[in-house]
Amino acid sequence: MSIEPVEALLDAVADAPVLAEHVEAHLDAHPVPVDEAEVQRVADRLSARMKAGSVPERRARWPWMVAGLGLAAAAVGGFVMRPVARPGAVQGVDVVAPAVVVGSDTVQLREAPGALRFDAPRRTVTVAPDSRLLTSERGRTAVVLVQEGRVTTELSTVPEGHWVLLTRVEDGSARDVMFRDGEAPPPLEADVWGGTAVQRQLEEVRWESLPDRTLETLDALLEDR
Amino acid sequence: MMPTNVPSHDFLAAQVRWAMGRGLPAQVAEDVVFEAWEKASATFDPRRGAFEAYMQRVVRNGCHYWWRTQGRAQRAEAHLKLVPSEVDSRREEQAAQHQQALLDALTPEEREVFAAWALQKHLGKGRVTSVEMSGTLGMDVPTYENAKRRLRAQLQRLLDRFGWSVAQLLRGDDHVDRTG
Repeated sequence: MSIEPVEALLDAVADAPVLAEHVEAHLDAHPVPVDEAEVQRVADRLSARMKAGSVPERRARWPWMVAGLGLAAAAVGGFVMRPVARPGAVQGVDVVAPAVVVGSDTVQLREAPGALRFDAPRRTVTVAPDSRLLTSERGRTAVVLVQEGRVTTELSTVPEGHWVLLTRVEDGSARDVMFRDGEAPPPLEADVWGGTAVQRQLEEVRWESLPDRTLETLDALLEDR
Repeated sequence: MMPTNVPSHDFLAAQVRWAMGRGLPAQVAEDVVFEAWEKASATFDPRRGAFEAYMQRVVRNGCHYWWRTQGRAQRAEAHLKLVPSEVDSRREEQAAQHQQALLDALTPEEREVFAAWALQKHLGKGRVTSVEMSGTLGMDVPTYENAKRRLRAQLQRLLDRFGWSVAQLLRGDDHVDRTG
């Protein structure tokens, strides 16, 4: 008998047709509980997308290749980093995806709990277990979108569905700006946040939060034009 | 050319609710419903019924067994390969018999807990909590956790009694009959 056979059995249920049928039948009788507010938000977005019948501009493809190389490097390094995210994506029109992304390989998905260090702004955040973040670091600013779980900075606790901008100003003090995903960011002082640079980071993170299937669908539609 | 049938908001919410109830994250559910709308619009024949009924079938097909795909992806990421790519029909049949025998040896409550526990694992850590999963079974969390502990012991006993490894249960190969 192998080590932990019961765990191995449960892990492999998807590959065991009779057991999988049993689980599927269980789902028929006992659906997973859903967040009704989330259902309505998704339906709102779908309704708007279908009525508009329009699609955003094409996302540049090459950063994804760079991100893929980053993924391989990350795997070798032994930590989780993927260039794709799903939950919590596209919650509003506050931060919209740009037409062309340059250097979006700086955007990373992080799932490992623990301390996360941003070198340029010299800031460290603590990531709660089961959290899922999209991050971007450029210049002296780091941008974090908390898709699941929460992170804690030295100044604030950032819950799921929120953005936080992190920097350190010239006198050495830390600055945070937190705002809810789906709402516009507050006014950002140009001298602290690097003018349009931080907006660019926000756009990159937002764009990378678009799910693969949406990207593929939009690409296909654009090809047909 | 963009599709022209735009379903009602209530209908879309119902599809999203159903998809999320199968364990799909909200963003994936959105993708599945949107793709179903495109596909249904492209292939809909008005002579064969209402558009929304047709689109609903496409949504349901898109969500069917989604958790199985999810589980496979997770195992691939974890570099676990429990099932070989090639299995012959005799082994598949034997594996199916083993799996059915295992289920038949469980009580109805154990079967429910087994399904709920397996789903929790396949949907991913944090996607469905023990609170939510125990609630679907009408249990509180301590009762559910105790039921899982009992089930773990029972599954171990059954595997020992039948003399099956997990691989044998899944693939049906290298069968050693110790049931007599």
